[in-house]
Amino acid sequence: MILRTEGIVIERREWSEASQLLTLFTATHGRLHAIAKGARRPKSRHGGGVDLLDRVQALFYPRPGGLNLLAETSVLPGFRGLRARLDRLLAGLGVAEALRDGTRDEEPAPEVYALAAETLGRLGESDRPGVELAAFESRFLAAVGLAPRLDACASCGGEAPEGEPVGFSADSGGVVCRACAAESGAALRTLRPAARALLRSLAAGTPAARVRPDAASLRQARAALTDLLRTLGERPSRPGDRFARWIEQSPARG
Amino acid sequence: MAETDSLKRLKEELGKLPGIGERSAERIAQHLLALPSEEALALARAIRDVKQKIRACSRCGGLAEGDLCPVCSDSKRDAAVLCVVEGANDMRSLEATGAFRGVYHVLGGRLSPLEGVAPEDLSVEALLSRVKAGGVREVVLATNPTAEGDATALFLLRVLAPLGVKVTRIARGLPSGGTIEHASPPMLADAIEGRTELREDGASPAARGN
Repeated sequence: MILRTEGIVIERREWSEASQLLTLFTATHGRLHAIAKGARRPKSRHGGGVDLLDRVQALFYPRPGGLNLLAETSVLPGFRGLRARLDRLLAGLGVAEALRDGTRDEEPAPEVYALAAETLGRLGESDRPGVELAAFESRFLAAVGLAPRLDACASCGGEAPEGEPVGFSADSGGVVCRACAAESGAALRTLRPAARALLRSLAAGTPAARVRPDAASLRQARAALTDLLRTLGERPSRPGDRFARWIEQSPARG
Repeated sequence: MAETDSLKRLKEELGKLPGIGERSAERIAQHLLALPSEEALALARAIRDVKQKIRACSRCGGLAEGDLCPVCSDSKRDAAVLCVVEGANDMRSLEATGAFRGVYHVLGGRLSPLEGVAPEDLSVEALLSRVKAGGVREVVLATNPTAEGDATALFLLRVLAPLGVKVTRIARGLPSGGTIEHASPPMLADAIEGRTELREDGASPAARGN
């Protein structure tokens, strides 16, 4: 039996001389690992190979519990502008990373696929990719049941005061009150009121184009979302953070 | 069938090579066994030499037998044009074209946020040092036209631009001998966006840009 689906390439590894081992996030089958034999040959049924963040139409032979076999892939138009700017591309790879680490094999999640495809499409034209990525991460976390608690202490349910900096704990799942923060003993991330408001706004579904955060608030909100995403994956850390950090610290940064 | 330890070991070692299965390993081992000693040992010596003599060029990171690789040792090469590649294999492929007369810088990979490869894992600092040392007019970014290759190129652009050097990217699009009908949409889009003026005098866009 051969199946057809549409997917986004979220991981790609070279496999033997000409084959590729791909992880797709698909509209119908969720995360899917598959091998594309001979993909890198120019006349293969995979058009010379597919790349990370390509949106593809895929025909595959399912191998339950094993590595699926891709019979044919064709790259569909879309996401093109992603590659024109480093910040867009990094945000796009952030989407791929969330899908790779935060979803499960062959567990359909059409709403997450639609969210990812829409986000990548918008990122291709975005002047503020960081905000788009934060909006994606917020909605993605909500879709997988990990939306942060922002109205009250995520640990005890008590009041987490508004209008002043507040602690944020990914382990607790949101903002924490002073007492719980002190009790945890750990150094917690601090959210300034504007960052908390931004997280609320994104959680309420406000489109990225309609929020105008300052740089520090965006950085804090993204860090909080990243902490939450980190709790999802099998991998202990999000390597993309290292890359972004280097860019921020680069003395040559514009 | 009983076989000698050394033949068994040879087959095991051959079987570790890419694309060599058990049958192929058996065939090659039998072939080596049948060769005159001098021919078989020449292969052994070649393997030993490669492992013992080849090292990274102290200037570009390419493959060298001495301190410098053949390109860096060649005084006729244009040291003002520096081509950045992901690996020594890419340098070899570009050299095979005979179309590039500048020098190289081998990064030792490409940035990969998904696999945790960050700038400090590559020879980015060495590249910046070479450019800062002066004498480089143009840096040609010849990383692969993949998402990670593009991210690497865009990152390098960001750190090179303040140094006042011209930064170019190798062209992308349709392969020579390919057909439009069989090209993928990204390939065609690249080809259209990167179209160049056709001139009767045959001057290449790169030559015109210089």
